[in-house]
Amino acid sequence: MNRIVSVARLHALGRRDALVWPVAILAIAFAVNMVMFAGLPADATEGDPVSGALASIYVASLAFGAVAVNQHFPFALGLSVTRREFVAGLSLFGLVQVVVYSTLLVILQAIEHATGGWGIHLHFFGLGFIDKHSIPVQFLVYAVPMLAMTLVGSTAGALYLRWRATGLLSALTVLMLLLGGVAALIGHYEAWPAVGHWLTHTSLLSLAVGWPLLLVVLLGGSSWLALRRATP
Amino acid sequence: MSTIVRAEGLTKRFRGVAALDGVDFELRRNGIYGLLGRNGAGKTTLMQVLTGQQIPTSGTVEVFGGRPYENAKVLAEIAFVKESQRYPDNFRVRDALAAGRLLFPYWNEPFARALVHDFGLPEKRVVKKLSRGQLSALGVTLGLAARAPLTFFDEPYLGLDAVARQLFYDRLLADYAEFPRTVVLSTHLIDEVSDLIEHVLLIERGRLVLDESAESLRGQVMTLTGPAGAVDTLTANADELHRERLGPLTRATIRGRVEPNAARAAGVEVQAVSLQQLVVRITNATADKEPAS
Repeated sequence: MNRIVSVARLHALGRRDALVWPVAILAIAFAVNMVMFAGLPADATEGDPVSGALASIYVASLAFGAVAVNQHFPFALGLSVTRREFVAGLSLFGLVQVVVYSTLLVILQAIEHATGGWGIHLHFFGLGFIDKHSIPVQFLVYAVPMLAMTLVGSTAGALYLRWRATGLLSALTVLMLLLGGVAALIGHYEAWPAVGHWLTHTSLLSLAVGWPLLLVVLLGGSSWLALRRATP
Repeated sequence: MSTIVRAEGLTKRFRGVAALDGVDFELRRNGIYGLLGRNGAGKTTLMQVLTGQQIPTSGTVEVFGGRPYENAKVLAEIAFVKESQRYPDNFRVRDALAAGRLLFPYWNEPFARALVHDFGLPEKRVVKKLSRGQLSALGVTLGLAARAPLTFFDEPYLGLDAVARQLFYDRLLADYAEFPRTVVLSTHLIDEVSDLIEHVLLIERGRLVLDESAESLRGQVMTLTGPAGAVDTLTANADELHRERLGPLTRATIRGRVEPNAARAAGVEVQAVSLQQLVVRITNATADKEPAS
């Protein structure tokens, strides 16, 4: 266990600035939104518009996953770390990171809710629907998709590490063909209204937590399979 | 002296090309081994297999009583400094040293500090911005301060100037004397390390062609210079590695024994061969016997 904590700490090294970046970008996006919303006429914010800038922290998670595997794996293995220890350490670090960011988002969301959108009807953290749920649900709605994004990044990193550009591009091609095929089938059977119905009638918990969790398991498994025999 | 590494029939193929081809050898506890051979002979692949970074196609490898692949207990005893080691882009020198401190169980911080000072490593500089020589110095520092019972240095000197290389050899020897361990040094600069290494492993096209103590090798190979007839008589029972003609004289490089008095009487001059020449001669002789298939 000590060893795994050491490997997890390896991810914090040299990242003192990288850990602050996602928060800094989010803070800047928030400040810009504040200024914009403060400048809007009162009737423009009546419909409680939602800002999409929260996505930046999810994009940052994806970048973290990719860099952590692609750059830290060859380094860690060079320092006598096993692949299993590396993956366990990265998982630990990734989980802690997601918990910290999600807790921060839950707190900021609560403040936003309590202040009526920072006094200017700005829905930045709450996205207009999260605030209706209990705190544990809020936490999961923030955390699980973030974890899934981290794993999208780490899977891409692992594919690249093991099979270089060929692996990454092949995986993307297969994914595109699958998605395109599914879309074509839905179109063929004129099932789009049914899909829309399913989306609007499925609970937030299943859309934002259940399905992303399935993705987490699938991507985690694929990453491990790719890294198991990868060489630094 | 006990055996800590045992390889039997070790073979590694990459897309049908054999990087290692049936290699058998042992490494003993405490000793400095020179792993010599040309570029692409299989030196790095061999070290990667011994450190669990590559998986052998066939054959067995046992390090400290276990297979190294994914074996945390075995890897804890190993440090492997390779010339092509990658560092994360945002790592500074001090981050790489902190990683060594975190991950190597036998790490010695005062020794690491001393090496950083001796090599003049800029601790706050990003590793990506280091010069070739500073990058090598960082690798050498990590490998020495790790004090691992089994330490591999894969061509650690790239970009190091003569002074820094000497510093590396001096620090290695001094620390080795105080904290004995098994060191495997893969290198091209054979003459520079010939006083350092106690045992020679020579690898050529994936095969181990020489596995001898440096001491016994020094007495084994020599050149004989003299009239062709006299040289022929003396070398009749020796393994001839090379022959050249210099006017009326013949110079033969042989592996075997020659009676010094008999040589002197026949007017043949006997000279010891440097380790580097010896490696070149043996490599060429092996290549002649087994033409590329």
